[in-house]
Amino acid sequence: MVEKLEKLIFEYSREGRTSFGLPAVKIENSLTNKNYPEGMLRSDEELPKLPQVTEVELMRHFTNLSRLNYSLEVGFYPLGSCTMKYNPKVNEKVASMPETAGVHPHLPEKYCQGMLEILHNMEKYLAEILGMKRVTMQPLAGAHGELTGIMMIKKYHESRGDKRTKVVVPDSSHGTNPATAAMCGFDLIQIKSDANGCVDLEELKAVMDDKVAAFMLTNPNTLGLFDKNIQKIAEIVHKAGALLYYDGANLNAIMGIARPGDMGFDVTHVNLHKTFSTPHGGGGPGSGPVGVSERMVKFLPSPTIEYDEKNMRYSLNHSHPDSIGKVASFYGNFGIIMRAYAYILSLGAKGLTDCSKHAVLNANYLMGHLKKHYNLKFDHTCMHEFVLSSDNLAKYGVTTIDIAKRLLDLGYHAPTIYFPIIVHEAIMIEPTETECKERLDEFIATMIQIAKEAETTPELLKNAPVNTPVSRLDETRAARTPVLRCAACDGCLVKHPDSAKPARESKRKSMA
Amino acid sequence: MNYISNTSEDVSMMLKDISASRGEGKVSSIDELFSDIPGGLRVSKLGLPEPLCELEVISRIHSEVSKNTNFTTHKNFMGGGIYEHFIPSAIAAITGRTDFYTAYTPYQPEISQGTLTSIFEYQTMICNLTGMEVSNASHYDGATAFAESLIMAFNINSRREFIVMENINPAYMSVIKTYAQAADFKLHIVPFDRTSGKPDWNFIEKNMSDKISAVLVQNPAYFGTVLDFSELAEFTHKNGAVFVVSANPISLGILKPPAAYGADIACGEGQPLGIAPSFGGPNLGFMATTQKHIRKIPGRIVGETVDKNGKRCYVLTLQAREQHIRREKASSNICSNEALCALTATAYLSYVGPYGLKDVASRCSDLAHHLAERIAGVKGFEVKFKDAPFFHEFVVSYPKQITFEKLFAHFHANGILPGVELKGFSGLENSMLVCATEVRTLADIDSYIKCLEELKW
Repeated sequence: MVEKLEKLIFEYSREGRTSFGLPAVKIENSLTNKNYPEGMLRSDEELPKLPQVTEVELMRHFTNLSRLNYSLEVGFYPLGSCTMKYNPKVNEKVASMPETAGVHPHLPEKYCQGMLEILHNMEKYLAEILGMKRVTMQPLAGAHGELTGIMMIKKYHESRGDKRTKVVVPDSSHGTNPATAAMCGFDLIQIKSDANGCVDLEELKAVMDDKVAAFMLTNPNTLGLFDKNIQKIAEIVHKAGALLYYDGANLNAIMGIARPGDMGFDVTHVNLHKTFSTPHGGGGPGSGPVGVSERMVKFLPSPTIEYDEKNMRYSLNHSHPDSIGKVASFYGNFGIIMRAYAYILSLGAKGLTDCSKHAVLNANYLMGHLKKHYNLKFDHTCMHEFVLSSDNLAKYGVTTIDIAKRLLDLGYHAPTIYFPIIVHEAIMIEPTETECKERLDEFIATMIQIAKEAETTPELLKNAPVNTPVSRLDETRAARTPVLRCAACDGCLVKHPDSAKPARESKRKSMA
Repeated sequence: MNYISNTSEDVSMMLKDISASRGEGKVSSIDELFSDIPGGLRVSKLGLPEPLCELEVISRIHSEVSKNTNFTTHKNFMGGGIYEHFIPSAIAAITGRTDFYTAYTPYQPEISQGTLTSIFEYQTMICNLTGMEVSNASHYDGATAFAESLIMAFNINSRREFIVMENINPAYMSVIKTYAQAADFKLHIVPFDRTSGKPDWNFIEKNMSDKISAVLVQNPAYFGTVLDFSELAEFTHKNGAVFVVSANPISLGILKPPAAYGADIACGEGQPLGIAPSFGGPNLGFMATTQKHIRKIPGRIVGETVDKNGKRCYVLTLQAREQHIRREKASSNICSNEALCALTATAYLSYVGPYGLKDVASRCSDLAHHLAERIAGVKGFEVKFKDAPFFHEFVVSYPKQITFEKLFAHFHANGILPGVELKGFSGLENSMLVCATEVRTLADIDSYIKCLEELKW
């Protein structure tokens, strides 16, 4: 896929170029210029240095940039914990309809009944899938959902006059878990996993006391293993007066099979951009709704969305004296919620359950084949993902990063690597349900080929990638001497050598 | 509908292979792969609606969203943090490319130069707009970017008290309070003068101390008013605190950038930069700072480097600040950015360019001032803070005899959305926030005035 690298848009800029225009309007008594305080207006010389390009150059630039990206519609992403499933087109369509995109969030309730209905339905559907009493759609990403959840947990304990200062996480947890706890002022306790990669009940018991606010857990965990002891874990946590938090990153394993609420979780976030097929967008926007059990309902972010059956009216309820408050400007990432809504409507209960079944089938199929060629530390039926190690190839001088980079050469995105940190040289693989058997077979063959290359021609791995737009990057240089914006930006906005005078004047006149 | 490709024949072949590889014995059905889940936890069937085909999904959702009022059915004069601007057709053509929107976070830079380059361009444009030196790759929205600036300021000077203007967007205030409560921060809310709209300087002086971490202002404020904050910035710095400005990015097409009057952190809501309102999300939080605080800013950052062959390229950098490396010691728990919205803003700013942005900002301001003047001429209606400069939004008070509900209904019946009701500001009862952007015409303004004159009270 070697594509030519693309210049920066600033490097296409020439003074006077533009395709943009506004209608000609003659406004009597415009006050704009005399309105502002002395020195608050920018002069033309002080205008922000933005590129000046025509539409055709703009389109070519961004089209060429897009071709430097790997994406879901190019090929397979075996990315553990990221659930890179197919993003259905109908989701995009319903989110971009003018009736969806052109709705102002400050509309009085009466005039946005359709939006409130969709948010209310989504809450009902997610509550059912999670086994939770209520769900807030406000959090704007998974980590933001975690933050919302831990804020509610803090408020819960405070409301009981119970000063709790610690949050417990397993050593296999996502980095967002400890970071979230720290943002809410909690001290962090990390406990070791047991020999099977699951929660060590004795370790857990030893740290649980009346200062622990919550235990944050992913189930299945980041090794892709379902923790059979989950009910015992819930009992230990609750007995100490603490709450159990569910990191929903791995929900794709258990939809329609088991529910966090039934397992004893009090608060759970879900990632709509993972489990519910909304696109990752190159890193966002996501959406991280949070479900809560009965006793946590009064702490939910305000407003909540209520339905009055008698009058068939949806409304926003702002009167929650115990609410943690708002966590976002409005009602969540509605455009993303809408995509997930279309997905749930398309699949229904059976379809969602089938997703988890096939996600687990695909993962076990890959694991069964790949464990003959890579180390599998926890050899047990996995859920939707599993973690290999490249330890067995270390003797050839090959590490996990080399395998990941070689995969790029061979047309794949890399798996999640070096995570969870409890597995040395980790390679975390999650195929999702939308990959077919032939794709999986091709991936298996590729991984076997790489394991063989490690032995026979390790330089192929060490030098990889070579078939990509750029080769390995100097990341140290990027961090040591940070260049975070177009350094030559001023220089890029040079006057076109052909025009002594800016071309802009004449162009604007001709448009008027 | 479903998107699963395995046929029943595939399933049996796969189960056969799985059985052969397992130490735990054979599996004859997918269900057996779930045997770790205790029986008591298994659900029989979820109570969800029956699946629909694509035709049905579109028709159902279309009928639901058609119950809303939208910008194609009504002329919009509502703002209050979310603004209707013209979005050139090219923008959707760019963001609709699957190579952008179905791509993952650019952790594998060799196959993500498209996203990385566009974020680098975004960071450059945010710096050029705000005058700041360092921008992150974007934040969730304007409210959360503002709220995270408290945490950033705390990380800079380890102080736990903040001075915040009362006249910021009330949604931002609410989110700031939520974050502050969780982090055990104390807020001092500065009242504004009900006539001039200006913050109470005496209150600021009285509450300023060596415990104050940062002073937070919004410019233009929620009421649209614009103020030169140079003096306040100077006073803030003198006391060792950080000066934070939340700005409307369109206004920066004509107004001096926050850096010019002393901002240490500039943030704001990037939605006006080509992003459709979509009932309030997804939006785009932008956040920028000075070189000095480069290692304190939260969120992803893209930097320039070279590859092994010396080619210029881009990569996520300064990751030692982030949660996946630093865990509980990270500068924030934020793990994503609003990459696709940042791309939208980058494409928008590239499309309009410096003069286009100036034209859009001037047009908004001109139309809003024209509208304000016309409204002030209608008996019973008053433009508040009339001596204060404003950008494209202003406060209108209406006679006590009219409820907002009635006013809105009258305008709505005439195809107009008149403004956003002000709630929770004492002294500003019976008031609304009215906004005009470049999509409005003089004829729209005539209709607005006609509607106002016809209103019975």
